[in-house]
Amino acid sequence: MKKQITFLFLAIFFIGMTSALDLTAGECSTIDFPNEDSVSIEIIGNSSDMEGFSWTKNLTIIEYCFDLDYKPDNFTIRWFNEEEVFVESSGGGSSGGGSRYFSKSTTTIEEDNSTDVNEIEEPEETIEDVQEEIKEPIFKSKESAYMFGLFVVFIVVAIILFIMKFIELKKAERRLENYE
Amino acid sequence: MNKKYLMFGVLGLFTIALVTAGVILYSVSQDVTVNPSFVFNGVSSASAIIAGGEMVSSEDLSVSSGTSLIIPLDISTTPVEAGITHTEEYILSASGVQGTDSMVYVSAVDAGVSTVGDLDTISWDANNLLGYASHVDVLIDTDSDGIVDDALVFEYAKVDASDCDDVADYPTGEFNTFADKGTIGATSYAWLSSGVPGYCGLPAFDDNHKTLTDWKVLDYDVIGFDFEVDNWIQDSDSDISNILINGASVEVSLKPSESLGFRVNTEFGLAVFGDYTITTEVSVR
Repeated sequence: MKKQITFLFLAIFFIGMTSALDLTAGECSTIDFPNEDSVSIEIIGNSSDMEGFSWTKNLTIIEYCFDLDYKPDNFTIRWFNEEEVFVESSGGGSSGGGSRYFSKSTTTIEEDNSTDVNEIEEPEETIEDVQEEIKEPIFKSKESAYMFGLFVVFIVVAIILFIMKFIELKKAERRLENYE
Repeated sequence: MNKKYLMFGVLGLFTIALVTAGVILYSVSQDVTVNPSFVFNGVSSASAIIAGGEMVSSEDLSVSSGTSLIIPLDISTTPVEAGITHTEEYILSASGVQGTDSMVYVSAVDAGVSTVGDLDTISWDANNLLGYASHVDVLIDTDSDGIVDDALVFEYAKVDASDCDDVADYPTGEFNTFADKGTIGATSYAWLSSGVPGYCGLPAFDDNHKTLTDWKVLDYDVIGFDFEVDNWIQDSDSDISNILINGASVEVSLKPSESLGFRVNTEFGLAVFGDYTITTEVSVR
């Protein structure tokens, strides 16, 4: 029983992990985006200058390509809608909570509607400019969101197990009473 | 018992989905590893003390493709100085299973040729070490869809209709193109690869065995050139260099998933002497 529950938790955890894609210079790949809105791009962990990398977005499909002479490298590419959103809660909580959405602009590479590589654009509004508007977000990262989700799952499972045990006990008591 | 596990799994996934939707609905990310399109094998640099008038050959080198695209290659060797000449010699070897071939590819674009009508001459230097001499397949597109459909084969045994299938005197050693049968020109015969293979005089073969001038009438699009050896007749080894198409030297490309072996022969003029480091690099052109 314990082994099976452990396996179930591990399976749920690994579902959320991103698997790395192996490409060869000269090849292209595609990725789905949740909406048709324009997107910006962020590159994380690259050691090259990204020369020879290009991408386009058509509706909800993003296609990205590497030139034949692209230098070997590994990194993370992140596409996001131009205004990134945070879910935040009001400070005191006494009003009953609720959520408000704020946006901040970032230093990004613009959406590329051609095969040309665009230059990096300076943000119109810096992070400091909107700092006063943004209250503390609930989740600072995807990892903390997943940890919270796992914690909730654990609590829910514990409650359900407790309820089921309680019901079994009650049934056993009734059987005992009927027997008597 | 199974319903319990199913319920736990559904609850867990539902919770994760709710949290995920709230935080990362508007972004996607992908971890990417980019591998090089080709690998360069061999010792690409060597030192030599030159006394003038010498030739130095590199070790055998090779490039192997890891991509599904044709890679135009730039093979460059230093030093670049007056009196020093570098020549790439391509190592072609076909043995084992019958029908094995080994080739070096030149694209039509690199040769400045669009159709058969643009093609006048082809020649190369050969050093035939074993078996049947090297030949060239002119890759043609017969329906103009950009895809190779067929080939015009210029080979030693068939290139001269008046001296056809002369198995007794296949050339060996160093010679140019087809040795006693010369280079490829207007009166050189080629047979259509998709046609009936056979001997000169077989009517079905002769119908597809014409001169370059005759093939120009059909004016098929040319996609590229395979300079190759194969072992349909016998295992064959040949080193070729100084490929000329319409009198001009050409650069080579690497076909998808293929390997190309080569060495670089560096000649030093009589007045060139001293310590030299000879280095070869390969890049995407």
